[in-house]
Amino acid sequence: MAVTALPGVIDEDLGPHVSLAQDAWRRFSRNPLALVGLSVVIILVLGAVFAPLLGRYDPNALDMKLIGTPTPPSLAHPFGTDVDGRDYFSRALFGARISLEVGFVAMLVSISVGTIYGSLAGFYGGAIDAVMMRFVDVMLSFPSFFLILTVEALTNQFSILVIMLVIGLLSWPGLSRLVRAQVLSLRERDFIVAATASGAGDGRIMLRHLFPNAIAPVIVAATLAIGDNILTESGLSYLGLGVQIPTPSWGNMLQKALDPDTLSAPWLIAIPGLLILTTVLAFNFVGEGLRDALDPRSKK
Amino acid sequence: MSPDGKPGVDLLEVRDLYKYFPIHAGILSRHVGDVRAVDGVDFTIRQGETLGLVGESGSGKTTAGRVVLRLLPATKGEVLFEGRDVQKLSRQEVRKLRKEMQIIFQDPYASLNPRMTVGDIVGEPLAIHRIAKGKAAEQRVQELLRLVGLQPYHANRYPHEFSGGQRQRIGIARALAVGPKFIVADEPVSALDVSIQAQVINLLQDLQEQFSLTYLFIAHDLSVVRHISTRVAVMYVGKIVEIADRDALYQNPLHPYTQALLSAIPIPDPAVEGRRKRIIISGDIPSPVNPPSGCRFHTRCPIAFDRCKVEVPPLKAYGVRHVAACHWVEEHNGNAPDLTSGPAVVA
Repeated sequence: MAVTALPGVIDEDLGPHVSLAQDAWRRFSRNPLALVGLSVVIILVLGAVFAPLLGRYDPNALDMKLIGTPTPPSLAHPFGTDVDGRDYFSRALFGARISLEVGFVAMLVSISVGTIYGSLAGFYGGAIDAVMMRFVDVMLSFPSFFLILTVEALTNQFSILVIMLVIGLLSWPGLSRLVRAQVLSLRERDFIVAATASGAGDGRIMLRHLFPNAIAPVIVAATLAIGDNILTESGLSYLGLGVQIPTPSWGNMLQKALDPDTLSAPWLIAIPGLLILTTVLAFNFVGEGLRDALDPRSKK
Repeated sequence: MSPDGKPGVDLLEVRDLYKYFPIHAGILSRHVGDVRAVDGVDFTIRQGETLGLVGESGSGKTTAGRVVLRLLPATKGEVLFEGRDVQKLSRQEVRKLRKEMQIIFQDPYASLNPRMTVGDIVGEPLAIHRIAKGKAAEQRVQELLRLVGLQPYHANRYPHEFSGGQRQRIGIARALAVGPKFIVADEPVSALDVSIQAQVINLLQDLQEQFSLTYLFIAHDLSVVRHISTRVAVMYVGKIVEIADRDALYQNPLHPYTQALLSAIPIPDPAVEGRRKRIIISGDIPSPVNPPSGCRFHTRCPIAFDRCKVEVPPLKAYGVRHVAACHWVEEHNGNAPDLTSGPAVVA
């Protein structure tokens, strides 16, 4: 159709263009705790990725000369050695690998299941929603850590892959509730009605309109979930139901360190303990920072 | 009459339309009642006309608009668009219908997806209906933006970077993208500053002329409706109480509710404004869950009599294309009551 510009053209300047990501980063970077958390996470990830280069020793190799008595931190062994004469620094680095891997993969599993489950319940509503959410209620009425313990004990499978799957598959219900609530509130918004009025189908509405708007709290929940998963993995490994020795994990390092014979070597407890604490705290700080940064309402 | 003076062709005809929202209560979700948002409504809109639909909040005007567009299913009744009942169309036919009928929303903040660029928002209907893609789609989007008074470079920006009036223009560009014949404008200016309202109203009028659009203009601001409408329908608790051509309605309102609404419009002249007589009606709009018996307005009407409490007044014609639903008017041979001076007399 032939178009002529109509009078009343808007000629105000919009100001410099700021993308959504730039805007979020600006708000994130104004939060000192979030920045500290992010730095710690980056250091941990780099340490885990380059563990074979950074650790001078094989984490599982026993040093026969040092076996029996743990040695305190020294130049040769920055974190000392454990009771079996293994380099504690290398074990901590490879432990970070395991912890981050488990935390991340389990998060991917729980986020995928939780997001799909919650979106479907929220989008279709009615009886489908009611049935799906009652199942979530049942899942949530089990204390999840003990449920995971039970599943681990029953399956008697302690490979890292199984641990990731078990943690992931048992920790999605809370997240699905979050996503469902998001979708329910978004579903009634005018821009969804506008998409329907434009002829958009269910798939397009979910992928292009609901999902991008529901993703911010999911990213926050995902970040917090990594911390939680690391804690769960450490707990399981500490109890002997997680990563099995000799494969190093912060949880089983802690367990080994609590052996009555080695209580005289406090660094063996302090190092994995502090690593778990710092890591979980760092992920929580990043999560909190993202929560503020991604919320379009907090226009700081 | 259409604006050019020739009798128009009916584009949209709404016949005996009902929309009830069921209310469920208890763990067994027992059906305990209905919100009777639209409760038996008839009107027609001619090609090229603007029908203003006015009423208080909760009178069912927005719901009526959504049902007309088949964004909500009707409980009962027909919505004939170019002679075909939109309620009976197949999925494929509904998709085609979306190209004919569009909507403009009240809240310019809620009606644009905050995660999409303006170009994507305006271009989405083009993609859905495969009207244009790639370079052609980009060009079409820029054309549409220019058409509503925005700049082509605005296509790369996000909605939050715009003011309310600019966002409303984006919403209008999206509605125009498919080249519709009919647009439901659901209070398109009530969320805007008064200075911006005039710009958007003028834009809507210019577009109507350029593309021979037909509007259903929903509003509660009677001065805006007077400016833009060719005909006006007044709604009260789910029912239409009066429909007439604009001038007939504003100069000779028959229904007491219409009179009360019109008397509430301030006049921008202090001398006249001082002499303006307001008809004050008491109480709040009744709940559409449990509307009053008989005439729904009888609980607040200053001239209600016994018949009004028991008998629902039908819409009756008084004069050329002027219908009203009022027993008092009927019993006084189509004369309007004068509510400004004591006991009701013929005006």
